[in-house]
Amino acid sequence: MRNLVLGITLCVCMPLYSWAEDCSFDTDDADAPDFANRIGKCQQDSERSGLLDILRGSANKKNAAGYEAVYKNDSEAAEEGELIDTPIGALGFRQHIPGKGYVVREPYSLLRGARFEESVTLAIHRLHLQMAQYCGQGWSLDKEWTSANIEPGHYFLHYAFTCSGMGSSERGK
Amino acid sequence: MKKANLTASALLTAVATSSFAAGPLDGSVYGKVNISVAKSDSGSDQYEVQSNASRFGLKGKTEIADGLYAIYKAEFEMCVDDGDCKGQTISQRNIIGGIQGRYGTLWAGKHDTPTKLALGKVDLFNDLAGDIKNTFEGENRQSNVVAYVTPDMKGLVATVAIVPGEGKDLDGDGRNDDGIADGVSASLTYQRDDLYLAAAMDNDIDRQDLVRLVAKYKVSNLTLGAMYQQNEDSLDSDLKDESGYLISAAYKVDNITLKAQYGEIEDDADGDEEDTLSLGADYKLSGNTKLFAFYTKDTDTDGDTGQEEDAKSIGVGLEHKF
Repeated sequence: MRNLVLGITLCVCMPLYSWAEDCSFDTDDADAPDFANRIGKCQQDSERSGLLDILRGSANKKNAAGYEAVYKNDSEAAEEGELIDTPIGALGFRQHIPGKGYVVREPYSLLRGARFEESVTLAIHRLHLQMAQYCGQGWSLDKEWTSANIEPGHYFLHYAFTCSGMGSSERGK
Repeated sequence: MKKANLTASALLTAVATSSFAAGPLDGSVYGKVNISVAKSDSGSDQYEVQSNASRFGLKGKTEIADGLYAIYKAEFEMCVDDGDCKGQTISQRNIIGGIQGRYGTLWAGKHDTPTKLALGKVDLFNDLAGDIKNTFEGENRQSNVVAYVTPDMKGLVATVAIVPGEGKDLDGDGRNDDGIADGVSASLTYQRDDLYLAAAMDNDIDRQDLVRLVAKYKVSNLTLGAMYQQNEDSLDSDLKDESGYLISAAYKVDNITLKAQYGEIEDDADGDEEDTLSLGADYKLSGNTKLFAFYTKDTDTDGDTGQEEDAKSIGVGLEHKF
C-alpha cells in the first residue's frame, strides 16, 4: 500500500518536474564524488539561461517566443580548443534560416589566476564562431548579458542574435 | 492568424514554464533504464533478464537566502525485469537533504559513502556482474549519514561523513554504539581536465577499516583507471586483512567503446583470493542510449585447499538515460 501511494505521488509529480531537465546533467552524475556540488547544476543553467531573462525582462514579447537556446554541453565545450585553431573559412558555415533567433553562451572567468582559455576575449571569439555556425550569411546581435556560473568569479556571456534576412532588423529593435 | 495563435500559445507555454521556476516545484527528474539478458554460470547454468540498478530520482536546489540553498535528492530503484526489488516494487537508493552555501554543503540521509563515491567511473562494469562490489569491500550505502562536503577548490573536494550507531553494534565488539561518529568515511578527490585522483578511508563502516586510492587519466581516446585498496576487520585483522587492486581501460572508436577490467584481492588472514576479469563493449545509439555487451569471470580461491570456484556471465543489454 505504501508503495502504491508512493508510485501514484511520483506519477503525479513527474510531469510537473520534467520541464526543468534541459541541460547536460548525466544520470550517473547523481552518484559522482562531488554530487552535492552538481545537484543544482541543470536547475541553475535553466534559471540563468538568459532565455528566461528575455521572457521576464523584455518588452518585446514577439522576440521572446522566437529564440532558441543552443547551449553546448560540457564535452563540446571541452573540444573548443580545436575549433579555435581551425581556419574559419574551412569550417563550412552553411546553416542559415533568415529571421531565426538563437541564444548562445560561453563561460569565462574574472579570477586573477584565470587561464587565457577562460578569458572573456576568447569567450567572445567563440561566440562569434557559434553565431557564424548558425547564421552563415550574417546576423544581428540583439542582446548580450552575463549571468553568474556556479563557482564564484566565473560567468557566462550570453548572446541573443538573429540570422540576417526576413525580420532580423525588426527583432533587434 | 494561425501563426499569431501559435506564437501566443508558445509564449504562454514558455511563461508558464518560467513561472514554475520561481515556484516551490523546483528541481528535476532523472534516471535510467538498464536491462540485460545474460547467461550466468555460477553453479546453475541459466539465462536471466536482469535490471541493472535501473532508477529514477528527483533532485533540486532552492535558494532560501542570499547564497544559501536547500538541496535534496531522492533516488529510487525500479526493477525493470520482474518488479521485485527485494520484496519491494520500488526500493530506496540515495536520499538526502541538506544546506549548501559558499562554505560547502552539509547533508544528511541514506547515501553511498564517500569511499564508494570516490571510485568515480573507474569501475567500467558498474551494476553488472563485473561490478567491483562482488569482489571488493567498501562499496557501501549507509543509513543515518551526516556529511560535510567542501566547495570545489580548483578541482579539490573533501568529504567527511559520520554515522551515528543509534544503538546498533556497528563495529562488532558486542556493545551497542550510541555516539555521533561511530562510523566515519572520508574522501579527498581532485579533478582537473582529464586527470582524476582520489584517496578515501572508512573507519567502522560495515565492520571494516579501509583505505582506498584511485586514479583515472584520459589520453586521447584511451581512458585508464586504477584502484588500490587495503581493508581489515574493524576489531581483529586476524579475521580479515585484505589488500588488492583493480585496473581498467576503455578505448573509444567512434560510437563504440571497448572496455577491459581486471582486479584481484588477497586476504592475508586466511589466504583466500578473489579475482575478477571483465571484457565488454558499448555501442552508443544516441547521447542517452547505448547497447552493451559484456563477459565477466570471477574466481574465488580457497587459501587452505587451493580449490577454485568460478562464476561466469555473458550478456547483452540496453541502457537509456533520461
